[in-house]
Amino acid sequence: MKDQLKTKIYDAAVLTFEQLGFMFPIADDEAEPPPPTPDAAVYVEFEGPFSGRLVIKAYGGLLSVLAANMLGESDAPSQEQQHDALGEVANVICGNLLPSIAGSAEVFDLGTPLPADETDPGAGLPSAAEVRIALDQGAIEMIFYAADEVPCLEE
Amino acid sequence: MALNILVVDDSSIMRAMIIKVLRISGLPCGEFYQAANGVEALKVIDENWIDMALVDINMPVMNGEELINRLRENPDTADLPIVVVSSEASETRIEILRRKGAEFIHKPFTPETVRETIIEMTGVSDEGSTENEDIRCGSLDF
Repeated sequence: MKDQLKTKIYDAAVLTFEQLGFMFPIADDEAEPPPPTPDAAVYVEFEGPFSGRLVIKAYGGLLSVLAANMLGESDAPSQEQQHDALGEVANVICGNLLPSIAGSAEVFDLGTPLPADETDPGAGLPSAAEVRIALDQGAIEMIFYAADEVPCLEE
Repeated sequence: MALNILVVDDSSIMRAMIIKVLRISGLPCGEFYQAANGVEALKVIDENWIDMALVDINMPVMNGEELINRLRENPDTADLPIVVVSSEASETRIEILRRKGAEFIHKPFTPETVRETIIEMTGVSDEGSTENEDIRCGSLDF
């Protein structure tokens, strides 16, 4: 059942990166080994039928490409724009992911994307799933923390 | 008729992206205004002529739903065309927004979806370019 949750996270992330950032997933064996530490990490908290947070870490120069693609400009985006881009992507992934898990009739409240604490990104919550995606520029790692039972993990 | 459009989103990069999409849409856009939350949006609307607002839902200070409520309560803005641009995917919440007279564009969106939704909502046709129009955020010009 954990694989089902991972698939939903993967699908929401790929859709978001393809349509918002014009970035596409590549096979792991084509990807360069990721650096040990992320360039940035953000989280989005959510409350609803189940609560928790989604953490997204960006690796390998993804941030600047993502921000430049979203802006549609060749100029190097500022640090603020790069972090804003990652936060917006996290918000969109989370917004798409939750109804795909709980059903489209359920209502969730999402928090504003915030920088994640490197030492405790889940704020003590248990991790329900981790997904890593290599993209044509860099990679992302997503960790789904849940305070309550997640429907597709119950079966 | 060129539309003066207000884009309300707490993400500056998303506001820029939406304005970029509108610029290349071929729709008759006049001036673009920006606001980072509902409170800023109300101020912009109070000070400027706005023909349509594109509004995010999850924002600090005042979220999009509250902004729509405030606009609908005011006789001057009760009929303002509003398009919600959000990652919200709950049919329940989307239906509530639609009952308030707002159209809905789901993030991530394609430029075609934005264009078609605005044409459907306002009845404008795609005419003219907007390349050299001003973009204003509150009292700041860009």
